[in-house]
Amino acid sequence: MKAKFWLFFLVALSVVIFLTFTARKHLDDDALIYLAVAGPLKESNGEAMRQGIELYLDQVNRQGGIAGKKVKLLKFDDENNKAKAEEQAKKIVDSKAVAVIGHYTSGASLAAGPIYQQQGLAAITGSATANEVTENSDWYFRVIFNNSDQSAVLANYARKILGHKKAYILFDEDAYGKTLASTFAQTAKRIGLSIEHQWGFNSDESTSFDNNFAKMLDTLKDEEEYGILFLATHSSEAIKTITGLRRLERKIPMMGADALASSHFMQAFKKKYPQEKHFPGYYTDGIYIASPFLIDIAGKRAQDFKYEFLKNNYPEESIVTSAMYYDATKVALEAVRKTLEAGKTASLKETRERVKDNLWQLSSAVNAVEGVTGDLYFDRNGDAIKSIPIAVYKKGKPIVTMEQYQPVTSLRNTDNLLQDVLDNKIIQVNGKFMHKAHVVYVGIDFNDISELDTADSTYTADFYLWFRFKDDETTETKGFDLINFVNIFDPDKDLDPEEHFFDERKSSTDGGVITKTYRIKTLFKGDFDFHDYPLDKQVLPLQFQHKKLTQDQLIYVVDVLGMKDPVDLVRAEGNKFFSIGGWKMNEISFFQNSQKVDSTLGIPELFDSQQRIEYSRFNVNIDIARQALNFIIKNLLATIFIIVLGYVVYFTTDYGLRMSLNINMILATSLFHLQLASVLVAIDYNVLIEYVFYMVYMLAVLGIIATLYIHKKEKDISEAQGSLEKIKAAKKTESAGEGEEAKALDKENNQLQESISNDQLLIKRIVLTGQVGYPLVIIVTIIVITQSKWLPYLQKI
Amino acid sequence: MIWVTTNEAKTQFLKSGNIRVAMADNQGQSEKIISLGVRAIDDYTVQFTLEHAKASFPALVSTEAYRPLPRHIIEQYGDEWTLPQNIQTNGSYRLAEWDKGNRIVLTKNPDYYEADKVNIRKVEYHIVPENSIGLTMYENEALDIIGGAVYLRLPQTEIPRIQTDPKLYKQMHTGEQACTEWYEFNTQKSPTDNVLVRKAIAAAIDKQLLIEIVIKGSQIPAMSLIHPKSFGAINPNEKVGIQFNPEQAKEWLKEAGYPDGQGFPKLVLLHNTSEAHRKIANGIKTLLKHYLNIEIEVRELNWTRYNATIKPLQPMSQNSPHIFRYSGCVKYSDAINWLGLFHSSAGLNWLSGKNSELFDKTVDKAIFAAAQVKSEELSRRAEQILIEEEVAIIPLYFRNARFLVKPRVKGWYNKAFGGQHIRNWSLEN
Repeated sequence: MKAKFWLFFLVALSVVIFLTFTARKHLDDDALIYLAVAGPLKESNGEAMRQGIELYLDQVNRQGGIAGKKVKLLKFDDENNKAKAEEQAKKIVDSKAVAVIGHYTSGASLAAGPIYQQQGLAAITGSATANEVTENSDWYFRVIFNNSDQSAVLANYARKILGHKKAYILFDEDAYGKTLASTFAQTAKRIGLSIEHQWGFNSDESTSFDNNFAKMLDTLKDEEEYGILFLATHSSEAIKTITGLRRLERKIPMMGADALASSHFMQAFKKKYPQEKHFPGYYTDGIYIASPFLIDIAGKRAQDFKYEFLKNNYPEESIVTSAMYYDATKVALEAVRKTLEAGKTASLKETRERVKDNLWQLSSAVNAVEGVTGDLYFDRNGDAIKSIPIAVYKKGKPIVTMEQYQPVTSLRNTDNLLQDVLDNKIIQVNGKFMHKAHVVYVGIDFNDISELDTADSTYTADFYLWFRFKDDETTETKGFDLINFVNIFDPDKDLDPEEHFFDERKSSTDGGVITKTYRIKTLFKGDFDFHDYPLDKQVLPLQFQHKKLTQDQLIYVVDVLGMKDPVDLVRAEGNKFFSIGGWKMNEISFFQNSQKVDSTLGIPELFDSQQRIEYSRFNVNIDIARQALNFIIKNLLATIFIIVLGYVVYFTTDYGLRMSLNINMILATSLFHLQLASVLVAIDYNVLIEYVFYMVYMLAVLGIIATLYIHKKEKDISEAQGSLEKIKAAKKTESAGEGEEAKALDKENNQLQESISNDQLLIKRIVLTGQVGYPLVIIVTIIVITQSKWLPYLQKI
Repeated sequence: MIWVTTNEAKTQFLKSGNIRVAMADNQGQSEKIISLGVRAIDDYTVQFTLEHAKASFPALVSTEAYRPLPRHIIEQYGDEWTLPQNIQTNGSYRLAEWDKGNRIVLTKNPDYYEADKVNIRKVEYHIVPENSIGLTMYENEALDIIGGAVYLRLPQTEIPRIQTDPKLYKQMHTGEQACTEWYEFNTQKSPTDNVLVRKAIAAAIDKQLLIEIVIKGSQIPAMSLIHPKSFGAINPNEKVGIQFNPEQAKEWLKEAGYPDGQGFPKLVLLHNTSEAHRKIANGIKTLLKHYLNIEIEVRELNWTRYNATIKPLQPMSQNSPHIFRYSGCVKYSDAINWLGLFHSSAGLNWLSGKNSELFDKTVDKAIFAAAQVKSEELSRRAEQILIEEEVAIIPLYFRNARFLVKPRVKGWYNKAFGGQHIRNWSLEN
């Protein structure tokens, strides 16, 4: 009997577990999507490309692929060589790829472009910036800014923000350098930046660079006052120039384009020049660059990307290129997804055409793809409309500068556009308007968090808040006075800057930078979700945004260098969470994003155009988890005992005991249930723990039914037994005859005995079901309601 | 076959071509032409007799007034001679159908002297009441060409969308028009009677910026009044006229006695009512405030009243402005056309004093100059007086109209003076 019991139990258990696992959909392995990558795969830049692409593909494939199909990457090495690029392009076109990511350089892309145009294959580059790459093609797209835009912004930056009146240009005569140099010069002419000298060289000829560099050095030696030198070159020549110019008596100001943000630049620099490796910044300090990806101002997705990137142990210098190619892959696969979801296509050619058409559909901020480097959507040439972040190298890392140019998303705030242009608040870059935006570094150090009220979803935070920005005529508008705490509990109460002011420092070294610190202790509101109570995790948010200035005028940046490392902070707290008991802190994250409003605000002139207002917002998210074990012990111990006692029902024969145990289960559980309701007010959904209560109710009800039924059967049995006695007695008194009556009595006897044994068997079966089923139901319920916790771990295997 | 008209406009026109015209004295009323120096010599030749040599005469001959018409048809049908069933033309296309208010259809003229070179067989012109409807028709493939200044223009509000649409923007073309927009000074009223003040204001206007930011259009900034491609126009490389130079502007204002705009009275700038003109006027106001620190009051009037104020200019009256806007277009490319507007005989005495005489004399000499070269030289001198020495006007921009042309139309080009050379275009298939 015992063996039977355990066998039945084990079989049932394994069936349940098996079903839970195979509930996951079987993936269609026989159909794959192919994506091609073309670049200098053996060099560091190509490696960086591959890293970014594979990071995205791994994520996608883990989540089941695109429209149920996994994506496979086909690799093609073009060695950054034009002839090879054309050759590889032909191979890619003949393969099963639905799109190609690459090529890396403008030269290679221009060589491969005509092939893709002719044969109909969409190409997306994350690094080729020459305008012609996308201008002459319906099939080439780009998620990075183009040369004419970046050099126009750099020229404006040099003249209007850095204040230079003269400049020099050193340029590579290839597709990349030539466009950079010519647009820089054109823009410079318009804005009063005089180009004193230009030196061009042919990077294919070994002596050309050296000769021209010598000429440049000669000329610069005699200069009394330096202008700024614009390096319209690739990273190798830039490195040679920067190190070579150290020979000058004074340091000459320099600026470069996106080539100086590439992985190759810093990696090669450090490899060849030990001074830069051991004293980062020895050569590169103070060089301005246009970088397609600056994590500090890029937002939460960028930070999450960085986290994943570093987790894979990829070299940090290559993060920019990888991020661009991550986004190129994302936008390509979004187009592929749309194509596949629209239905079956007749041929590969048609699929490729539809992918291209879907890429063209991404034409406005509203339907853009959210990438890690920004919102991805294309203009009429196939170029992504992005901001152009300017950074300056400090200690070997590119740091966001205090002033940036941001694309103007809505001309609503400018009543006199011309005046703003004359005042240098707005610049015009190739027909697009960009606003001068101030960067404000923000830091928060928490002193304490207390009074967590789950009923109201509120908590009190006590912290230091500081702002660091350039001290100029706009100082008053950039700080605490004009911010709005989005989730403060009492929104009508404006925090008085004077009341909360703590400290102010002016930095002498950093060129007019001021830091203002405030201390705040007030009530904030969260949005708690109790679906998983008591195993719930909550997020305590803290957000503020500027009342007036939009994203194109003011950007918040997390002051990473000034704050405690969030990882250390979490570790320091250990299993506590400041002054709040029963919770533990999992993670604290700081990031900036923008609050987007797509509204015309009722202004008729704006009805037909795309209107988006974006406010720069600073966010802190504190992830906390309830300490479940503590909670369970404190609050549920009694329930556990009740459940165990309920099990006893199937091991006792006393009717009275059985009934009272079952009834107790219901009474006690409902007591806890009611108490829960008073703790979690105003909730209309079922929390996790309630399912346990429902299970207990169900077990109790079933137990009652079983008990009553058993009781009835027992009564039947004793009745039957009583009848049997009577028959026995009747048989004895009568003579042992063969008469009719005797036969009838025998028959009755047998019937009764049969019914007795049937009933006894039934009772045994019910008891057995209870003994096996009771724990089974409990185990199954627990597995099912906690599956969201452990299922992801199993999926990773 | 020549038809002579008593239409006054045409008479003026013929006179400008110096055609020998004998007029009858009609006792002060409009003159009547009794004979004209124009004769048909044979079936294919027309002879014009001029009063005196005129260098730009060949350019005139392509204009409408100089086209020979079928006398016998006109005499037969009178006003109905232009109906499709009656009209006779000898151009590259014939009128096939005229559905009044709806459409006009032309078909290739087989008798045209170069008929074998004409590619497009049939052309339809649709009469469309509104720009936006025209654009919709274009996008629905019902029209091949839309835009320009003469035919239905592109709707201004749609331009941003067209410029950012990947397909449409490739079909967009700009075509120069022989039209100039300029601002003029009241050279009699203080302080704009001082040439230094006028020079300062002219040098403070950044035309490129104005076009890019305020107008957001495709216009070309004008350094001179007359389009460089015209006969007798100034060569832009010689940099005649006042260039944008804020430093120089401040210097001139200082020399005029108003250093940094101190003590400078408020000027009145007048324009006729229109959204576009208002924007430009306010742009100029912003520029002058920014660079010279002087105040401008912008006023506007509807077209009729505006003309009434400007044309018979009473410079010293209370209502007359210091600066006002004007524009003009010409039918053929001769500088004389333009300069004549400022001649004191035209009844618009916009120049003052003795410099006005110098200008008049130069223009007169240019009109009567026999050799083309001499005429052009004199025209340039006259224009130089107008825009550089006297700075009576500030040329702002040359109009550059926008067109949308379907890719199937090959060889399309724009004619600045109007009209279309459809005979030189072809269709793809």
